Amino acid sequence: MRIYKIAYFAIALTALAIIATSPGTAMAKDVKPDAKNNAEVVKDTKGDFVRGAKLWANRCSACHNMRDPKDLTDSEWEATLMHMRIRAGLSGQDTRDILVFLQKTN
Amino acid sequence: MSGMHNKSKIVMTSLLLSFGLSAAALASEPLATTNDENYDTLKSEINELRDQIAIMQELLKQQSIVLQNKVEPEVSKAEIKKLKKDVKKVAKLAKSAEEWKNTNSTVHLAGYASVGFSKQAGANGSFSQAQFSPIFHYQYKDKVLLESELELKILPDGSTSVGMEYLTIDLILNDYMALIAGKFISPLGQFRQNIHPSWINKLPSAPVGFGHDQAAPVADTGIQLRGAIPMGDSDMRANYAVYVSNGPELIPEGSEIEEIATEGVARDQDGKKVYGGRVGFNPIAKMEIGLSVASGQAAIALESARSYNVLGADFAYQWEKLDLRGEYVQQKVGALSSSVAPESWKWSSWYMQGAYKLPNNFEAVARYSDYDSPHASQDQRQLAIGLNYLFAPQVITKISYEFNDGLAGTSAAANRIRAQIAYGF
Repeated sequence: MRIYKIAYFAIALTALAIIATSPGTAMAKDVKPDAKNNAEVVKDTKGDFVRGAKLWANRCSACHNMRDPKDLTDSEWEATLMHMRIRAGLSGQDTRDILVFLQKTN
Repeated sequence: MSGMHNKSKIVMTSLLLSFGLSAAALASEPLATTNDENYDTLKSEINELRDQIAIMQELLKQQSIVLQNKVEPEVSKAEIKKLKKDVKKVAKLAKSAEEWKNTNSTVHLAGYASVGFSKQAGANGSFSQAQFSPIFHYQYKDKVLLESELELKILPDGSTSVGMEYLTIDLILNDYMALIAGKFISPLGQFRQNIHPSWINKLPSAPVGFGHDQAAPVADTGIQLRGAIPMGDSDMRANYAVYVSNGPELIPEGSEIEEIATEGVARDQDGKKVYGGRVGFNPIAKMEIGLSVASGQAAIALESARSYNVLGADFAYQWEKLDLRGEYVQQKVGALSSSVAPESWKWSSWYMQGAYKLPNNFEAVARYSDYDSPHASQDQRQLAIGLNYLFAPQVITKISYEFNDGLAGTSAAANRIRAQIAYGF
């Protein structure tokens, strides 16, 4: 029982540390007030193509075969990356970097 | 057109000057021209000049017509007509694209499907699997994602079962945290939450002990916080998931607990929640080490709650064409003297798997897994070897042979050959 309590305490402490070090309660990124197309906001303002290419090669293959960027459209990649952000524990910035890479090479 | 007018002016000016100079020249001649001979000559010259002016005017008129025809020839009109048609077409397409472009919401259908054949030693082979698992994504900006996976599969008697693997509403709180609420795949370990889809799993079956109601928790209903842990600018990455849920239910069989039902029940019979989570760490690219733990209470229906604990560890590593991964998990239920099954019970399982990509899209796989159950009939050790062919990265055909070691005379001890086609989309 002791090991479970220690482990649970460590996890709770980690979560608190993350909350404390996160940039407030702001949303994942600043959205332009006039931006109606979320994909373009992501594409133009935040992602880094080179970092995205590297992360795509390193992180995506950790679980599954690499999908061809041309398999999906821009908006499909957007939803897919949102899903993978949750599933693989990607940060918002890593997600935007990979999204930029996929949207510019599809 | 202005060029044409300028030319006309120049010609007219030249003619008038010529006419004026001629008239002046005539006027400067001596009065002797008053005689009949000079008069006739002068008259003749004036008439000649008039004729010349008339000819020039006619030429000028013709030139104007030619110039007008050059500006708007017949072929250009046809082109303009075609151009107008094209512009209308493009405007229509642009309007159509705008309809999608300007939405805040994105709808996306993903998922996977698989069909399979299996033959157990000493039994008839059958086409035993036809499964379809659509995953629905409804995204609102970058703030919310609703995701749900259904599982539809054909049962041995031909009927169809429909299940909800998960349904969550995910609220993105910031770059490092999302709140997940609903029924979610257990975040403990790696196989269940990341590897189990048939187009990802490199063998047609799950490792022993990682199936439904075995050693590894499958799903939970509750809330979860998960995301990435900030690691600065380094290449290291880390992620976490912590949750609180209803927890599992214990299914008795006589004086034993037959299984722990971890299907994400939407009730809490004992009123006690389960708390758990996993931390994953990537010290280098393409390597992840994970630790999982959960603790709480669970109960047999109508009984008091008893302790329930989960412990797990996993790793994954990719190097060039080699993919290595392994995982250990155990679930323990504490003793309860007032229960119909008073003893403490423990289920545990582990596996190690290696896959190597061969030339021409082939892939070789080997996996050893060991499942220890408090019930001897459930204990099983398995060596599975397989050969895959990738039609595409997400379309994989698999054939495998499983060497099983379990209680003699049970299906756990029977070897099997399996084949499967899996398609992720």
